[in-house]
Amino acid sequence: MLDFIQSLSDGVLFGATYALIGIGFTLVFGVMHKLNLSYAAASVGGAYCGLLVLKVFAGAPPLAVFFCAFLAGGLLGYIVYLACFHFIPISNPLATLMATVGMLLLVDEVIVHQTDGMPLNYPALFDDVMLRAGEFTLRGDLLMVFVVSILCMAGLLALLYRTRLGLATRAVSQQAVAAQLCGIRVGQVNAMTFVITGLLGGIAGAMIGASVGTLSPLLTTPLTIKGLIVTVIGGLGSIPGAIVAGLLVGGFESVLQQYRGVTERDLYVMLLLFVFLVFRPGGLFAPKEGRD
Amino acid sequence: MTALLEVRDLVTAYGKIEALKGVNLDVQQGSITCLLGPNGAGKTTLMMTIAGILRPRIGSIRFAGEEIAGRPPHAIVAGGAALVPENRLVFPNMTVLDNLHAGAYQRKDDFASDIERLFTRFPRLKERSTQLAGTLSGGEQQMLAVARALMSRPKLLLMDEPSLGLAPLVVEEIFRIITQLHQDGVSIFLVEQNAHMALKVAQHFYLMEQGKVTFSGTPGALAEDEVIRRAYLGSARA
Ligand SMILES: Nc1ncnc2c1ncn2[C@@H]1O[C@H](COP(=O)(O)OP(=O)(O)O)[C@@H](O)[C@H]1O
Ligand SMILES: [Mg+2]
Repeated sequence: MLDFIQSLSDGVLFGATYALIGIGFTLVFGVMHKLNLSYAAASVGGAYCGLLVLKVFAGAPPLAVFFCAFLAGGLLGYIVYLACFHFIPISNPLATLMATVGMLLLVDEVIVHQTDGMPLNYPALFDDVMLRAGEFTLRGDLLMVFVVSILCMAGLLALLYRTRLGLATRAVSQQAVAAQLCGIRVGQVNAMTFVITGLLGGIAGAMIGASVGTLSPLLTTPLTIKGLIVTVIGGLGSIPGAIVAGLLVGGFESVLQQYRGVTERDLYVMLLLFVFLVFRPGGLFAPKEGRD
Repeated sequence: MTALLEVRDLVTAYGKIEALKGVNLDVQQGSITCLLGPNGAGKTTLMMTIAGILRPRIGSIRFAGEEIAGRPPHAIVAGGAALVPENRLVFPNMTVLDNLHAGAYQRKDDFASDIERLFTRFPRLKERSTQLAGTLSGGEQQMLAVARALMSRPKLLLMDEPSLGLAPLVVEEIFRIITQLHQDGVSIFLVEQNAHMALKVAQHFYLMEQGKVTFSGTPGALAEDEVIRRAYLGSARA
């Protein structure tokens, strides 16, 4: 029983990073009704860029690395927007989708080339802290990951519901034509959505690096799949859905890793997706309104 | 005298199909001008082209003396023309108040007093200001769509079938509001199927069929035209 609670709590804390990745997929989908399949890869790419700080200042603190990952993620988001959406006819749904697949492969290749395919150590905060309650422990670095992720989500929600840009983003996602009639520039909102989700992705990548201790090019594919699963389970376009589903998937895979081993756990995550697709295809929080 | 809005030889196409085949019409400053026409005539296409959502293939649209054809929607709104679109298109998961804020998106000045004034004009919207727009009735959504367009303080209000699908009492309410707005100095270009109601408020009529303007005249001339009377006003002479 203790094992169960322990692995569940570790998983839920780590799941906050899945939630961030899920939010990135779901927000772009909500605003543009498009999938950006390169998102998780670009997020890992942002986290790698964070390590550049250590190249320049060998003794830079982890926070500087995280912040640089955050900024690099935003920049990568904008590049993805330009390369895959801005100059490609939006009306052709396959064109943008395939462009993002190309971008996913490109980012992957660049990472492999730059690192010779070897994992790199990633710094963390509070990795020497352990909170204990009897046999039960909370890892300080995982708690840090969780808190940082939750703060990012709170920041995003504040942006969406308290600012002019957030108002425009919600307007475009609910009724793009009416948003234009209100004088909102849809192109700008789309670009900003990529920058904002990119910033979140950079942080998510950095938090994943921090909790695992290393970054590896092998991370991009599973993270892409987990992100998409979180998006579907949460309900395409739903931010609360992505948050809940991220924590759920994190806890679920951690528990199954505990009982079935690391090689089998993703099998069960896929099974969970399958169960949702059959019994609740709209996800946990299917948005009430479709388009129009 | 030059018109507030002048549309000349306007052609707008969806792919190869031309929905507007050379449209000419004027909206005079301070008037209510009404565009009639059967479904599929191209009325919505015209409105969307004026508002900048659709780009015309050829032709000119002059608004307040400036050429606006092909300009993006935000430039048209900034120039002082706002469209209340067909089917209202409110933001369903935003509150009534947020819908109004979206309408004021380009305003840099303080628009709190505008919202107060609109709430006096549309008391129902005030009662429901924190409710999600998607939960409003059709009539209330239409009021909201009008109020949202007014938040940009337009010189010209374009309205695409505001009475569509509304109960007769609500339609009367909408037309009462149109008259009030007109008295407040807003010029109005109105698309309507309900010719009876439109005859009571508009000073000039156009009829559009298959992408072309086929009639232009006063309410009197409209009521005199045998064909139009039969198609739009019922065959009996009033
Ligand atoms: N998005 C579209 N794609 C292709 N054809 C369209 C589209 N919208 C309208 N049409 C066609 O253009 C013509 C004019 O339509 P519309 O402007 O909506 O007419 P109205 O508003 O007068 O009913 C119709 O034949 C319609 O089928
Ligand atoms: Mg129409």
